[in-house]
Amino acid sequence: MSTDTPNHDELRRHLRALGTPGRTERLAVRRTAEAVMSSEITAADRVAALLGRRRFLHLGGVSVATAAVLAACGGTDSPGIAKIGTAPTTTVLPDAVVNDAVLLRTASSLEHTAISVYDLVIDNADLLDPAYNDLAKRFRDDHAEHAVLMEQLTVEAGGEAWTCGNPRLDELVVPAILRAITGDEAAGVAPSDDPRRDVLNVAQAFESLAGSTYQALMPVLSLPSLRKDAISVASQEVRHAAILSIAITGRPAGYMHPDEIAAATGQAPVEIEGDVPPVFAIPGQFGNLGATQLVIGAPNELGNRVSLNVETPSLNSLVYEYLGTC
Amino acid sequence: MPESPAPVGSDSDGTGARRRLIGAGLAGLVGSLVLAGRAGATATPDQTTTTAPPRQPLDADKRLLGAAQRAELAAVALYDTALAGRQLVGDQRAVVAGIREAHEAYGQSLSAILGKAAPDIAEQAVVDQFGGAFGGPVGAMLEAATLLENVLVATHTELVGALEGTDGTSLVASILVVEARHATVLADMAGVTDPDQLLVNEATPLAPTEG
Repeated sequence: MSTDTPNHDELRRHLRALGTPGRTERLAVRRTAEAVMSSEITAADRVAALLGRRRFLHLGGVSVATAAVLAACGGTDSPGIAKIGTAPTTTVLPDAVVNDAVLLRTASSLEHTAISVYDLVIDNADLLDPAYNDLAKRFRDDHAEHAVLMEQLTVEAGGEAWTCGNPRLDELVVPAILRAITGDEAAGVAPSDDPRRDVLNVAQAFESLAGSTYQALMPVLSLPSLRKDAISVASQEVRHAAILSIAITGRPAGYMHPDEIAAATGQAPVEIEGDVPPVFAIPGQFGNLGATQLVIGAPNELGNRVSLNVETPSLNSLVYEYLGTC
Repeated sequence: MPESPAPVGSDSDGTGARRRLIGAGLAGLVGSLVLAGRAGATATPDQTTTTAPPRQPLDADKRLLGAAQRAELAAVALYDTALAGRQLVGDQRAVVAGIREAHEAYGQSLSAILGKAAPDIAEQAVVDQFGGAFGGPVGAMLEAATLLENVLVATHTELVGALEGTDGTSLVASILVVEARHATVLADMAGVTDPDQLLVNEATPLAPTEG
């Protein structure tokens, strides 16, 4: 039987002549690769596995080059994966735990922000109608008492008392409010057409914010006694807001939101007019945790005023313990 | 072959510990118990543990919330008395009607959180205490209503300090901050201008009663 196919022995000889590794060589390569890739061994073990005498003879010059590269990569005794280049160092973020002390520090910070706002306008006839000076002083003194209470409770809760304003409100919200009321020539912001109206609205918004903040603390403060102290303060600050609402919107329109009256009496709801939303002593049936809208400043060329949402403190406005003291 | 002593920390099956305990005698037993007790406590100064307060009202909470609902329903009955008469007119009547609706909503909300435990009846002692004034002239009615709202604020404030469940606490808090506003509005309607009377609540809270 004639055939064109060479026999197996002849084929093996041809392949060996071409340099194709035989079974022994293949086994040697596999053993070496397993030794090098094992996560259990160190860099020194890897070099030994690659440069063992028998394997060296089996693998020849190519293996030597590979060994040199891998040994260079595994410069330490760490069994971890080798890396190239230098990773930038990272700064570990501070531990931002929200606990009773943090919540109480945030509460005292709001009180101090309110105090500083009242201090800005009291006895300043351009900003506050002198008829409201005594009321504003009374409200400021109430906030000072509340701040002291919150600071005491902070210490009792194991924290450091915070005796300054809220950093986020003081840096972002209050300057924006003042800019809208007093104007900023460099930024092209005209002064308000009615600064006294705006200041009363700002005070009302901050009092409402304070009340909402204490209400929002109810499910997160850990102790019922702390919740009681917080809500006691809230019940006085919402009274501030109610008095200011009546002063701003007038009697009887400022007593209760028209929607509440319409629901109770069956009357058609009164249309709310004007570009500055009116405020009400009783804005709804339940305490509100949402943002308080504040519309202030002079109208721009389109007739729009500056509109800000004053919101209860969230994760970005809490006064964390890592901030230390002020 | 003699058994070699078990290396420290290798007695996960407890046999080594048992042998050492026998060898050490009573003193070893006492020492082990003390150490085990300390290990069970696990508290180290930097490992503070906190227990989240419950959300749902506990049984004790339900009794307190039930008392709050009775007080709210008493307020509804009292405002109904005032509105049944002809003394309140115009805007005053509208505001009082709005306040009455709010108290009804409070009673319903408390009923929702209490479920079958809700008493759903008015606190008769409160109705009796304020009923005469609510049926009288406008000035007396507004003064009595101001006092009633302040009593409710004081009562609910005490409640917040006693409740464990946060759902009930949050609800009562959302009620009392508006009742404080009610008190200020009613006082203003009654002609009060003294900030102390508008801002300071010296009312005595109601004592909780069983439903």
